[in-house]
Amino acid sequence: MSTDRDVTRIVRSWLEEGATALPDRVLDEVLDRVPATPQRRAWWPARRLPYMNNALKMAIAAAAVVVVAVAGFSLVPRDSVGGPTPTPTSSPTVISSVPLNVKMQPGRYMTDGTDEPVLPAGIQFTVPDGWHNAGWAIEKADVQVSFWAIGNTYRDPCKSVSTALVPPLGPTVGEFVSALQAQAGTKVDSTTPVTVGGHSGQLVELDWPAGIDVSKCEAGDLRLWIAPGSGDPSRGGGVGRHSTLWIVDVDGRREVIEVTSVPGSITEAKRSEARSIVESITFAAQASPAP
Amino acid sequence: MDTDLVVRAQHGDEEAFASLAVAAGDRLHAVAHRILRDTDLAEDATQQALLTVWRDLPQLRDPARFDAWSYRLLVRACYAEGRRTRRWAPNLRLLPADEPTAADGSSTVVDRDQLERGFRRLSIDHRAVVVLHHYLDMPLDEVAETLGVPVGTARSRLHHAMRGLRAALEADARPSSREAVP
Repeated sequence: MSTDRDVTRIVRSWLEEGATALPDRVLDEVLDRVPATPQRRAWWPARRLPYMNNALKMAIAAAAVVVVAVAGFSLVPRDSVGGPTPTPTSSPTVISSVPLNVKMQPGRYMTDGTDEPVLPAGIQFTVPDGWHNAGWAIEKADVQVSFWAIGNTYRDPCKSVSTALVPPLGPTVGEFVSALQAQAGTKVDSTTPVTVGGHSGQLVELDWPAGIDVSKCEAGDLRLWIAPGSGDPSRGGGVGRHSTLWIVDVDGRREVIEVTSVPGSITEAKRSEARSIVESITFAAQASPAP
Repeated sequence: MDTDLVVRAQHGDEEAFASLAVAAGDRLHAVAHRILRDTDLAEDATQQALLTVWRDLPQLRDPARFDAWSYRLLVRACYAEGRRTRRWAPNLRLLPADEPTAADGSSTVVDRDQLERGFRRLSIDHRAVVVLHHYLDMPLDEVAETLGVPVGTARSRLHHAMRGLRAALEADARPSSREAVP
């Protein structure tokens, strides 16, 4: 009978055997493919948009965020938006298949959640004329709408390397709202009960931290939350933005719709258009997890 | 790892990434080979992991965490390779005859054969914990962080895996006539 120490010693010795060097041909293949492999940027609309080329945006589209367009403004708190809507007569277009920076055909679209960061799947919405897929969101002019799954948040958006919550954020709407309210520098202006697509939640009006030199932040920018996915992709941005969040519980899943813009850019027309998109949202039923 | 290289690669510097890949390639391949127990699969997993490193580097928040993060991507690539081969590979085993005996002579041919078979019966989840902890000498809390699981889960997987390997070592070493060599 071997002792545990014997087994550990034998296993460690056995693990020392075997290949260690990566063949040059494998490394060469990797380096040959790098120029044709666009990098995924951080989810940071404030600086990303002017700097990114089409190839990078295509990569982000493949990465998949979905998005609807609306307006980044202070939506007047509502009792309810969305709700049951007629079943579409044709299948919605999967948003990740929509080319970037090309005007979208008005119609029904759907998130597919097939890539990282892990995005909510099965959200359907109607896009009016004049919007395009920006990869991380759909946008019109300087207004963007995006859908999110939330994996965790930070205590301080400027200290995103060192202040991710431990233990991580819980799964409920209330826990996310409370975490935002406790976040250093983030100002939650209001929280209001709301329903989207027939599912209840909270409407949150949120001002990003202001008066900060983001170049001195740990990641060189502000980060509000972390989406699931490799590398902990996070929602980044600059100072002075305003976001409206619909945080809803969809059969036990926390889904977040964000509308954001630079303050002062919103017009009543955009407000109305944004509201029409949010009102069009329905959530497809998800399969129950296996026991 | 040189964090300056990581930062430069995060900003799209392909030469910096090439230096990173050269520096990280061997250690990633060594881990992949030990998890997957197959040279071709390990090369594929390492290649995929390195390309994912390049693609997702801008989203790495802390460049100082590059090593742990790259192991996490590698293990995910190993999962993918493991899934890809699961349908045809489970009853095959490698003969260890071409591999060198450990310097201290503690790992006999019989032990190695039994370990090989016992290890292959483990899931990729369990193999990864064993390799990260006993090959890389990672503490269990770092193993857990690398794999994105609670420490208790990592500890449980290690316990389960080592129990399986111990049972394999103590089992009858004679191979079945139905086993094949790829």
